[in-house]
Amino acid sequence: MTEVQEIRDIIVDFVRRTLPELKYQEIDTRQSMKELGATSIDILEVVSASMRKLNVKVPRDKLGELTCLDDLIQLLHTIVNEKATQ
Amino acid sequence: MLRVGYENRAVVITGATRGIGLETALAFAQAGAHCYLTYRFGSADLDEVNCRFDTIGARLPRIVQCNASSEEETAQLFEEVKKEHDCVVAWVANVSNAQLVGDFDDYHKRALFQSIEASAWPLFDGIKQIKRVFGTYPRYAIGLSSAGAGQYLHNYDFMSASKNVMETLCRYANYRLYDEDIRINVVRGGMVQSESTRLTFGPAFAALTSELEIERYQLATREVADAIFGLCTGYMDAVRGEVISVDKGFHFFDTFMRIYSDKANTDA
Repeated sequence: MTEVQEIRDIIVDFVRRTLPELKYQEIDTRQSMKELGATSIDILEVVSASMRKLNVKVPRDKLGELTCLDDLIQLLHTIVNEKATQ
Repeated sequence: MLRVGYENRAVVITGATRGIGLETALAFAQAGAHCYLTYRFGSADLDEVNCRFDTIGARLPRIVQCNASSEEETAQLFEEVKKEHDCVVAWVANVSNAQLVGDFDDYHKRALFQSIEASAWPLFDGIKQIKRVFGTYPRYAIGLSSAGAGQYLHNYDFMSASKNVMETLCRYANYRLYDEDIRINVVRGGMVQSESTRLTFGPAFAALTSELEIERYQLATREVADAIFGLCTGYMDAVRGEVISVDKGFHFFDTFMRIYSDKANTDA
């Protein structure tokens, strides 16, 4: 079972790589990526990089339902563990 | 009878596991091509994609995860194609991605440049990469533009700007490569009934098109795909550096006055 913290670390790492200005900054995952200064293309970058790292797929329409990074972490956590139990 | 033989020859199409990209791939596959389909998110059911090819008796495609706006990943894609083919006959840069703009506060230089990088540049990067990897240009290079390049579309500021960049560079690139064996064109597709349209404009858009009875003016994805394929059959080789509108002429009468005419005709 993949822990939430593990997924959080992966996502935060990709957020920092995509938005280098946040490299040394504490990232509050209760915020949306837009609040952190990301464009929609940055958001896709973070999601697709995280998907590849975790080897899962996220339906694109699910992305529209996400309001903050915690939502993305939770969504990926659910998908990763559903895949593991299949 | 096509003038260009596609039997077991490579055709590469980005964003091709659904919508216009998939239909384009099927059109080429039906002519015998070995299609390379890229996808980024993989939300499409890949078994279903293969099944579409199987159903028409076509060779199954190679489906490759690739971010089309990444030069590195695009280079890897063509290296992969080179393992089986010595050239790419047709390169279709279908996928695009841009920041949607809700208001003027959304105007940011970085978002605009990212949009151009993801929506205009891949056509030309692909052409350059194919030349680098194979030593020859693709015989055909097609970029996908949209109605937004020429008229107002909801929240489409940066996508429209990106498509205009692609259309302009298509004309210039044709001049630059005039003596080479390549035909570069852009297909400006009209409003299609696709998931991409739904995701871009939202579910309310579909409801409104229905209410205004616009659906009859919308295109099926296959209609745009057939036009793309048509440009690559050899019969249209003198068409180069062009932006071809594929919308059944709708851009001319996509106006308030046409809505009035439709209503007047219905009421009469």
